[in-house]
Amino acid sequence: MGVHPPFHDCSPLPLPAGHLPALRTQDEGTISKPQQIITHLRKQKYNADYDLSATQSADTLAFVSLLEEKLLPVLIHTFWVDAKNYVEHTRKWYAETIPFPLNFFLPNAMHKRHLERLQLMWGDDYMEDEEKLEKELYREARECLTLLSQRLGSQKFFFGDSPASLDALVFSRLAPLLKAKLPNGKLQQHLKSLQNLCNYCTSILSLYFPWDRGDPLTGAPRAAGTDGSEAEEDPHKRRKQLLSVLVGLAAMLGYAFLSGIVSIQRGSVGPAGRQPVTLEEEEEEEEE
Amino acid sequence: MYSDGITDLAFLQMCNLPIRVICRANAEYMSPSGKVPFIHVGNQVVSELGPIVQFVKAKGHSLSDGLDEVQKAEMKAYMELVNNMLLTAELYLQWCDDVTVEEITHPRYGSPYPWPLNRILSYQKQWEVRRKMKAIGWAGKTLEQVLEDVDQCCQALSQRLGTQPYFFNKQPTELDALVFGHLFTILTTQLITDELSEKVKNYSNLTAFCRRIEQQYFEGHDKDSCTVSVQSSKKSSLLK
Repeated sequence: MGVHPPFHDCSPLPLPAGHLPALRTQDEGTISKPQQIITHLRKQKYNADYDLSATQSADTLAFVSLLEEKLLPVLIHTFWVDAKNYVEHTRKWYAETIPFPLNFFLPNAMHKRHLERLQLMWGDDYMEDEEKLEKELYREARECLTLLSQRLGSQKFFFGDSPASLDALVFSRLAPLLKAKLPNGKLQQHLKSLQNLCNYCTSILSLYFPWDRGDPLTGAPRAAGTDGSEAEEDPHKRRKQLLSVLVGLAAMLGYAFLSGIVSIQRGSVGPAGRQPVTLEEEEEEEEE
Repeated sequence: MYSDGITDLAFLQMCNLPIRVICRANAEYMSPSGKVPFIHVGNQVVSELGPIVQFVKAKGHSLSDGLDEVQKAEMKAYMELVNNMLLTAELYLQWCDDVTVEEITHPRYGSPYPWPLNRILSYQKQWEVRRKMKAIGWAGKTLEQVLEDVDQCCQALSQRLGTQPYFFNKQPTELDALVFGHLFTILTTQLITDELSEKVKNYSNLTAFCRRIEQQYFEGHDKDSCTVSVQSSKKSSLLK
């Protein structure tokens, strides 16, 4: 759903119908829907909302609705549908990080899916009228960010000193928007003007994603420069290179054979080939 | 949508604005956004709750001026919750539950038109709604799952309301109008089963809230709505 941080080390195993994120579990195979992932983790006794009061749980539901209705569709538009952002940032970002051969079709498949979804949700009016889109939908998304900022205030997390599932959701929506280098960044600029939300994202990043030194969300090439991760990446990189070369060679040879540019001549040494025998027979026939 | 009509009516009543309700078969086509209801003030036409609230605010009437920033954020979030869950559940029940569609929705939606226009228009509407449900991930849900979502939403609203008269204590806001519009519609609309209204009736503070608003703002007005059909003998004791 929406936007995801790039994976540094992705095994090229088939994903369920090309969906991300995907969680591989021991008992239930691979789960790809976020809600199912959360349900699975809760069954394993991991629950971030255990200490919330009834009103706080109710508030969680309300703010989740706000995010999903007002912010998420516009985020999807910003990353996946806005032409400049998609071509110059998102597609490159995913293609560089997802392993071969998924990187050839997964970003485009996701782009088409998101476009279709937005067309159904918003109708053609908004998709075709940039000004209307900007005036109404982007304005509501900016308002949503402002409301989140007002609700957070100067607290560390939304419900006090320890994080809950709402914090995970808000962070997952805001962090990519904050850190990505988008060419067309109207929404991003508004987020950057809300200082408490920026600090909130940065503190969660440093608390829960400490292995990503430097900027973890700006792209694989920079992450590859981190000490320690290079050695991990090398086997995969070489394997990818070897596979690419083999596939390229096979394609070229296959084309050469099929189009007749190259054909195998069976040599006269050893067992007689078909051709020489045929020629002799023809000569015999002619003689007769 | 019936619930939207009640919501807007409640909101305008709460603002103490004089209004006149007129029913028209082609209302959807008169509306600037294609959605009903809409208000017609002088030579301006405004549809949907959000724009109506903005319009009324620009004229100097607002229900949420007394709220602080955090409360305003919470109010907007709860309004989205109601739109996300209750409104979608109502649409699902009206247009995606086969039994309800055949026996109630098609006849009601097509009633102003002659055959075959009534069937064509209602099938067209059904197709539109189902496409939208698919886009937001509700097409794959069963009726039980939808009812579960309604229950979750009602539980959140009930917890937020608590024992207060309104969601933000003493004065009604847009959220109160919106919640009233939807809950009243659910409680009073006759459907094939009572499962949806039973979910709401499980929360006594919500039914009491509906009754209170109905008595305060709709008493004496002759609308085509019936009183909240809750089996309780405490009706008169809630009048304050």
